[in-house]
Amino acid sequence: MQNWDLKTILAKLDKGEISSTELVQYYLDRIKKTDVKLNSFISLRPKEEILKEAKEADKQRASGKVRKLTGVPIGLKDNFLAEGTRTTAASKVLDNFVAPYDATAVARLKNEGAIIIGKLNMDAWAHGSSGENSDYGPTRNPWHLDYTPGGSSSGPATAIAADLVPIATGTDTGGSIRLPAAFTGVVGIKPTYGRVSRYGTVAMASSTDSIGHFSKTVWDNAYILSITAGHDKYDATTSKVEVPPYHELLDKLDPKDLKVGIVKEFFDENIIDSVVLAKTEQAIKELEKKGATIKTVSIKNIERGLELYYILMSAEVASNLARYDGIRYGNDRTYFGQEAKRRIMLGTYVLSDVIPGKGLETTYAKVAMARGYLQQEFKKAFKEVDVLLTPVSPTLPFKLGSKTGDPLQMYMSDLLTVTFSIVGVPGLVVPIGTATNKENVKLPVGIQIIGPNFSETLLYQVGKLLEKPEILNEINLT
Amino acid sequence: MQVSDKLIELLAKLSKLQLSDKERELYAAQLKEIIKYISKIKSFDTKGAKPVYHTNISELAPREDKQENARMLSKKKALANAKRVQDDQFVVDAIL
Repeated sequence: MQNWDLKTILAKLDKGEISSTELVQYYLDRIKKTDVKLNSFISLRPKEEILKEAKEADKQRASGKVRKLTGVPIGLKDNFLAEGTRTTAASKVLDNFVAPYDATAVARLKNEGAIIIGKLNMDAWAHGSSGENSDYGPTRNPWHLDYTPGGSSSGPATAIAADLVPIATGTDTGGSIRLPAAFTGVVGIKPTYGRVSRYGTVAMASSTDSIGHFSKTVWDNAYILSITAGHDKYDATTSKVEVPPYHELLDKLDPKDLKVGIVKEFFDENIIDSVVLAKTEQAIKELEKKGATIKTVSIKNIERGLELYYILMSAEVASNLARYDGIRYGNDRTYFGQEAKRRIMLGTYVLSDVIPGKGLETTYAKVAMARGYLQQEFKKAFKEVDVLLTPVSPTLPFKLGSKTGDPLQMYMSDLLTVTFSIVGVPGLVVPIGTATNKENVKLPVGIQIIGPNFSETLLYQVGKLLEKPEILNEINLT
Repeated sequence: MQVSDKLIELLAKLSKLQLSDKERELYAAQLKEIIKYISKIKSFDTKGAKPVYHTNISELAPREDKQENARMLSKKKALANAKRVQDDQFVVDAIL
């Protein structure tokens, strides 16, 4: 049963070739055997409860009551509230916090019959690019245990790649789904800002926080987004734009009608490692062979998104983390880890900083202007092309411990993902192959597909043309 | 720009964080470097641009200002995660 994707699982459950009980038992056994090494879960739900839900799902299936995910096991990043589960956001501040209600995304998955297996590891408060800021120890990359799986959604990405659950939820504020998806060879989407409700997730930077998903294939990912997306009266930023059945539209694109933009500023040997660049260019050539038109576009100042991001994110983090006082829930502020404290301090500085000679015009206000500028630039680009293709990370996955001493160097890992978060547009990452690093370690490479607001259908269609999910069979976890 | 002990002290106070001497020293060095990097923003030419605080704000609709019973927590649930509770109320340190 190893490495079944969700589509296969659903077909086998439908045909009665496997029961939900057997399925759940397989994943629990596999977690027990391999997660000692990987550390992708922070908490597992009690085995009896999981098996009871699986038995119930099998009964429902037998009686013909089938919902979209009846009896399918899923994992949740540990910043999603699911009633009755310990929810830490990987911080000791919330070490003993038990969620009193379900996040909207979780409720929607549960309503379709999904079974929650457990809560997945991450950088504490989703602050990080390597998973190493977790107060519960770093997650290891299933491709090679000395390497980071990327962050902040380190646990969800690893759990998919290592076949510990078929579907996992994630959050992406500056790249927290896309980077780990690329570093582990799985599919990850950061939908348009406002596409999926954030109600019941632990807030990081509210003006870019987005909810998305990890899966082995594009089809699986599209299927899950069609369940979680859509307006929610509990999150005023959610859009009323219609949610199409993404998974049913995957083959509706003729590549000959597709205009692909290559962002000039991001295809620079001074920024991107040559192996990553070569692999990305190869994928683009394959797309061209299928009939797509490839065009180089320029988005002025796109690379400056990183400085904007670290200003507005830290300001919003400082505000959002102000609520943790240890009175109503959780521990007090002495339990914050190094990175959270660093970002709170930086955000507090940013929010009180005044540009000399300009009165009360703060740095944060200047960022809002720059953000408006970048949005205009993107609008111009999307008049010329349908989607943009870029690498996800400037490098292949790096070794655990190699960047922890230098926060600025760690922040640079987000260079190719943050600008799209600031602008609010959706991004899909799919695996395009593997490459070997200087130490002769084989590691996965992903590609990032960016489109205008609410273009998820198109992103999945392009992703379907590019994905190579079979690379996951090359993982050797012994 | 210099990140002085006084500034670190002020930021910690505003952030309600208690820092050890070692942390103060570490953050002073790291923040100096990070602030230098992000200060480049001041030279960003934003001529002609309009400020953006939320990316698709035009579509947002406020909800009705009404009590929402469906998601109201019971007293028991609301107090379940608190460390100090007395007479069904949260206990806080004396302020005066």
